[in-house]
Formats: sequence, structure tokens, C-alpha cells
Amino acid sequence: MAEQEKFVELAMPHMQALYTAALRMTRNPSDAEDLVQETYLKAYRGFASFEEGTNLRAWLYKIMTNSFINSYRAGKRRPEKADLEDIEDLYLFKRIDKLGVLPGGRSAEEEVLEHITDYEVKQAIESLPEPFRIAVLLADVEGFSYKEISDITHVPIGTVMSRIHRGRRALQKALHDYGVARGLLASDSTVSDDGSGNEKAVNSTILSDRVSQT
Amino acid sequence: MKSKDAFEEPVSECDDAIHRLYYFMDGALTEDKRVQIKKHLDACPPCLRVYDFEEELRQVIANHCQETVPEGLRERVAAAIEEEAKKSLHRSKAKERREARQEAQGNAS
Repeated sequence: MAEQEKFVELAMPHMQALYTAALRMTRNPSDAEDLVQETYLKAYRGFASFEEGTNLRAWLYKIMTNSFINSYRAGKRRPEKADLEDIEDLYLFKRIDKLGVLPGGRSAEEEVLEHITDYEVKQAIESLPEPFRIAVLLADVEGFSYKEISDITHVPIGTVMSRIHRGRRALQKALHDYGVARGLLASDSTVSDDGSGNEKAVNSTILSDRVSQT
Repeated sequence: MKSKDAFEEPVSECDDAIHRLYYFMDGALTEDKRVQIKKHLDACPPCLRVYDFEEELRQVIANHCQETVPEGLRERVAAAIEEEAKKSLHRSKAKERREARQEAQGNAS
């Protein structure tokens, strides 16, 4: 019994963070709950092999990420698009910078950052292709180091860095597109809103590269 | 981020700081490089502004995607662990009985 009590005491406090990551990975609350439960069961069964003094949090994320990749992704009928277009450095900052200082002396950065919502951040993260989504999530939401993420995802550290950096830039573009849709930021393209509402405007900016070529 | 005309320092110092900004933020630079970038940021307001923005954005992203654990999940997980613990207790008890039987048989023969 002592083993069980110890596991519960050490592992259960991580549930909120694990569920947050699970929901971003699966993009579905019921799958996220299943994934968390599966993670805890696997962790409990393997608890004897866990070396005390090492990083329990990273170990739990490793079990969860593996479970997600092995069962949830395999269960999907269509593989997700795995590539990401290249987005320039400082995508969001450069566009905010163009706004200059706002009336009342507020900086444009403050104005934009303050208006970012839960919905936008969640959608923006979930819009990233899986390898980038997992890398950005582990780095920027869960605060893991490159080394830890490399260990959690079984991916070489160079690939981890590239996924985090590219993923962040794509995330900035997605957030920028939400800013455009709400009139906070100017659109990159000169194509104006077709009047069919904000949702459409966001989609069309996300796809703008492909659209503008046609 | 600043022009060659306005300052004595070469433009490349800014480029270097911006280029390595994510590595700097992620604590992935060597100590020498980290100190060098830090010194530049302290001395260069435009680059510092970029750094502040990127740091703050990261914080905003982390803060805006937290979830609360759905009702009942904690209890379901605890029950599943309890169930698993019972199962393994049964398994080890059965194993003990088996071993005791085998030992008894061994002693008898």
C-alpha cells in the first residue's frame, strides 16, 4: 500500500498540467480525459522502474506523449499535415511595431498582448501540425528545456529546437491573424474582407499564401 | 535593430542578439554568449523592446491556455489506480500461496 500512497502523493498534483497538455494534443475533451487516465495507469504500473530523485514531471509527460503518439494518432483515419510553412522572424513584433505609439501613449505591444484571449491562444496552438504543437506546448506552456523535450519526444535536440522556433513563429502568425480579424492589426494582404464575417477572415489569412498565388 | 549611423557599434551585434534571442530566452546559450547578449540587450533599447515583447508573449500564451481538470476525472483516476493496486495485490498473494505450496511440497518429498 505504501507504494500506492507514494505514487498518488507524488503524481496526482500534476493532473491539471497534464490535462492541459492532453487537451491541446488531442483537441478533444473526451480523448484528453482518456489520455490522462491511461497515462496515470501506465505510470502507476511502471512506478517501480521510476528512479526516485529524477524528474517525475518529465517522466509523466514522456509516458503521456508516447501514449498520444502511439494510440491516438494511430487511430486517426487521415494523417495530419505534418509540415509548416516558413514564417519570418519576429512575425508579430514587426507588425505591431508598424502601429507606433497609440493615442494615450500606450504602446502597441501592450494593446495587442492585452487583447489576446484564451480562445485565440488555444486555437492558435491547436492549429499547429502535431510535431510543432507538441514541441511548443512542452517548451512554452509546460516550461521544459530543449534537453528534456528531446528526451520526452525521442527526437534529437537539433530537431527539437527547430520545431520550437518554427512552431513559435507560426503561432505568432496565427495570433496576428486573430488580431487582424478583430481590427487590432492590419492585414498583410491588400485583399479586403469579403464581408462574410470574422471567422472567414481568419481562415483566409491563414491560407493567404496559397490563396494569393491563385 | 538600430542603424549604423546612429551608433558606433556595428549593426551585426543587434542581428546577433535577435538571431539568438530564442536560445537566450530558453537558457540554451553558453555562459559567455549569454553574458554577451545580456550586455547588448541592456545597452540597446530597440533590442530590449523586442526581447521584452517575446518574453511577455510567451507568458501570455502560457497563461491563456490553462485548463481546469474536468469534474470527476480526479476520482476516476484515483479509482483506476486503486483497482490496479488491488489486482496486483491479488497477483502477489496468489504468487505467495503458489510459492508456499511449492515449498511445502518440496519439504514433504
